[in-house]
Amino acid sequence: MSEVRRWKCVLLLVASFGLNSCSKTVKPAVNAQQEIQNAFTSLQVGQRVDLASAANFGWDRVLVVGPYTPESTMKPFMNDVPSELDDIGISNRDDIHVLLFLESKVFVRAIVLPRHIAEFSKAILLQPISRGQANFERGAKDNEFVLAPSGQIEH
Amino acid sequence: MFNRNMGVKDKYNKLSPAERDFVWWNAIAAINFNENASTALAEAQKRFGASTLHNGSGDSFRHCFWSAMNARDQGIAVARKFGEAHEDWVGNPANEKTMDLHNNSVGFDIGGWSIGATDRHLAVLCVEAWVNKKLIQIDSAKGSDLVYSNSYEKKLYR
Repeated sequence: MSEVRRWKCVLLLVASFGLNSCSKTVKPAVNAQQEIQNAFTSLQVGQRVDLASAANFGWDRVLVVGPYTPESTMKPFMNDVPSELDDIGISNRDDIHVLLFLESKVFVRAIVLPRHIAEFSKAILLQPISRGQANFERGAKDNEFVLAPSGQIEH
Repeated sequence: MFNRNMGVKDKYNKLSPAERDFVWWNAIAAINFNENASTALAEAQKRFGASTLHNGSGDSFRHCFWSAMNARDQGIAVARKFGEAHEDWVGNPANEKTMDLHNNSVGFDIGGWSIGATDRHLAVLCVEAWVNKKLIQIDSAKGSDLVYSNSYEKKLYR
């Protein structure tokens, strides 16, 4: 193999490696925000949302964050409070809840749920809920969701 | 409503249609109200517990203080117009809307009669309103009942 051909091969390999690296950073086409919102929409009293199925990506804990929650109160649950929360502005808004997905105390994703889609019982706000226990049941009061009986808050 | 670190477009996209309409016609006032919102939230966080910032004492104080600053800076009519637009979003629970509009009204009165007053002065007047049961809030212990401010807190200290 001539020196020129060898260099061409090396450049080709580097280029293809670069392309593959880029493609790995592309997020799946699935719109998690929309899927999770859909899961909570139009449920009847007693019907449940299995969050492990609706949020089909890697996470092991979820925190339900209520309106006007200061970011400082989320710090105990994760290594770093991500800038995404700053962008959402939950500390300054009362029209949404945020589902904060974590894996080994590392932030994975924040999903915004408008309150006209789902309310959450105050008892479950800012309580780490494991993936296996994250089943929410629509209660009788307005559109409030509570943790389903199988659900359990970790202490 | 707003966050200081967000881009203008991000902030605009998060507004309700009624708020967007207000911002479109009252851009200067909206910028002023945005700053006042941050001041009111920071003051409420300093003076009240985190658990009271939604529907509790901190929330009632924040609405009063924010509205007082808005009325002082832009007049009661403009401040009230924005306050009503701010509460006009789909799914806003009736009791929360009633609470916020009432506390806004107290703030408009305070700010409207305090032209030139400092933020600190308005904050003190809103604390006085809270202490004297002029504000209302939701008593979460009793479901979603509206109660006068400084009603159930006293029980904690008796």
